[in-house]
Amino acid sequence: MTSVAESLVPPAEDPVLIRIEDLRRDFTVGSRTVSALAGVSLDIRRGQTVAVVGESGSGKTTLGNQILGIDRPTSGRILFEGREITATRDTDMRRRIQVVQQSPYTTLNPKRNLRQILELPIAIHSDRSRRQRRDRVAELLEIVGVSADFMERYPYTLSGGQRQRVALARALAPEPDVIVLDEPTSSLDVSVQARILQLLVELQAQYQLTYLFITHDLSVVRNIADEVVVLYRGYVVERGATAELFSNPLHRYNAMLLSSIPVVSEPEEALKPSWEWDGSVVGVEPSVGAACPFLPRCPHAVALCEQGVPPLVAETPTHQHACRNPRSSESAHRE
Amino acid sequence: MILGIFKSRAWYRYSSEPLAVFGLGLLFVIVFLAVLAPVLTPYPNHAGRFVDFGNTSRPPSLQHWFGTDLVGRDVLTRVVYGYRISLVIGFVVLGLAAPLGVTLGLVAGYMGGRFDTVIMRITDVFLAIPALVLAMAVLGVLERTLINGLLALAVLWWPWYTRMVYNQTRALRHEEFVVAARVVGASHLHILFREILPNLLPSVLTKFTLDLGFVILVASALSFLGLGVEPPTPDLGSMVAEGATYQPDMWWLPVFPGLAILLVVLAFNLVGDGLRSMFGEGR
Repeated sequence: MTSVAESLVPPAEDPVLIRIEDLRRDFTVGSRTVSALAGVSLDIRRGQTVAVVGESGSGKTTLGNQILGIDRPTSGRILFEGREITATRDTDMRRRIQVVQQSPYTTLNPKRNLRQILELPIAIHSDRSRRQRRDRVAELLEIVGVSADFMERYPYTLSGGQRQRVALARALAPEPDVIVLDEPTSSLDVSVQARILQLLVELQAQYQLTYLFITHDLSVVRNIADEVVVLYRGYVVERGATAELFSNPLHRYNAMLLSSIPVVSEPEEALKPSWEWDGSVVGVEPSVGAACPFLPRCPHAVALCEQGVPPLVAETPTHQHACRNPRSSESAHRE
Repeated sequence: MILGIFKSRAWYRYSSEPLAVFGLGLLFVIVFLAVLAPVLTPYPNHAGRFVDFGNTSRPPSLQHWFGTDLVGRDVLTRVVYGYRISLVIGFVVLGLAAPLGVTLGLVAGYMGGRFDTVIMRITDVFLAIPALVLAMAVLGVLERTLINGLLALAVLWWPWYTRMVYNQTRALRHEEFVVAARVVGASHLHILFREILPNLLPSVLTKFTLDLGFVILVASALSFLGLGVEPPTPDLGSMVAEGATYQPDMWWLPVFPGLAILLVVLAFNLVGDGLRSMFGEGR
């Protein structure tokens, strides 16, 4: 597994900021054990945006929680600049990894005003005076495009987009290196979505931020991610540089995800698989490590697919997939 | 400043319930009477050790609106003073039980694991014992004083707060704003009392108000059973109990203190219901 992780990284000046090694997280549901993460390895390089894509239950939020340190893995390791942070991390380590969550309606405590919300991280991670904290709150609000006059307001007086901006300000407050973006725009209007994404891109450039962008929507990450990791049932099924992964999907699940994006141009339309696919997960039993996790839903399964979980194989140095019968460029035309 | 309350959103919503407004008015009258009892009652000295054997068991009259009792004391005076004790009992009992119960519920619900198991099993044990029986047992063992009575009721009441707060904390524990506070590095103490507790205050306050009525009722029941406040302190429950022996001839002895209990319990219930609908909670 580790060799695979390394082979993906071309010898570059980019140092790895976060390395995830064979991370596993099992949950017990009744008498059954479900693996939200079934051995995920991943490198996140400084200043990059890595998108983690998958449907509900694919383990993408669980992965984010492991990196944030609010949940612990069953096995595996997380390294930050080479230091292990899997089990414990100190206050400064906490400072360096922040989060923006999905719902603008629950991400801010309804009983606390914006100043209280934003002063908390400042008070924990700096020794600014009351006065300085207040100035910093005003500054943070301006950075994310919210008027500093809103400082004493409560979240219910703000729109969804404004709330996400405040959540972003809270994430920026401790001056982090990494922000885990857990579907930060999925509950917003499309127009608001675009503006928040634009803000994220600007902030990344300004503060040299590294993003882990968790989403179920490939179209959102297309323009902002450097690398995309596709998760299915806790397994990495495909990963690669964004352009490659979009132009040449290899795993059938990724092809399905891509086909669900509404497109406007003919070249894009040609990439879509012709076969119909069933988006419903209901009644699909997860396979238990004996076969390809995607087997029950795959229209292209071959006999080999039942023999163990397929390993990640490299198609190009920057593109890997875990499919025994991958969609090749030629077959795309036949279909 | 104070009048500003009547312009607030909260008051607007509260006042949409006429009964709640009535309850609040009733409560103000009761508190007003209790606080100013020495000034407002016709015979303040009748609240203590006082006997007037020439004037016993008189029916209601212009001099004694609620009549006089077996040793010649003015019943109206003693009912108003009875409210003092009742309100003190209510606030002291819940002032002990609610903070204790709320804190335990917060800790059990948020920390989970062993905290959850230990605190909630103890809570279950207390909840399983019938309230009055427990209070009677405590008062049976301890000396019969006002302090012990208050402690007995507090011991009886905290588990209800623990249970309620526990359930709500469990629901809030995984809310995004709690997770965000953890990521930012906030202490457990901060998360429990600054992030979670403010969201529970509406329901705690509602329950507190409703319970004030119930505590007064249970305290009266204990007094009626002879386990409450010791004489000659005027206590509504004891007054009903004393008067009950001389029925139906001296009807005024139990009826007026009984009505007084009814009114105070009713007032707290109406206000509690009003708060509940003001905070927008369903039944």
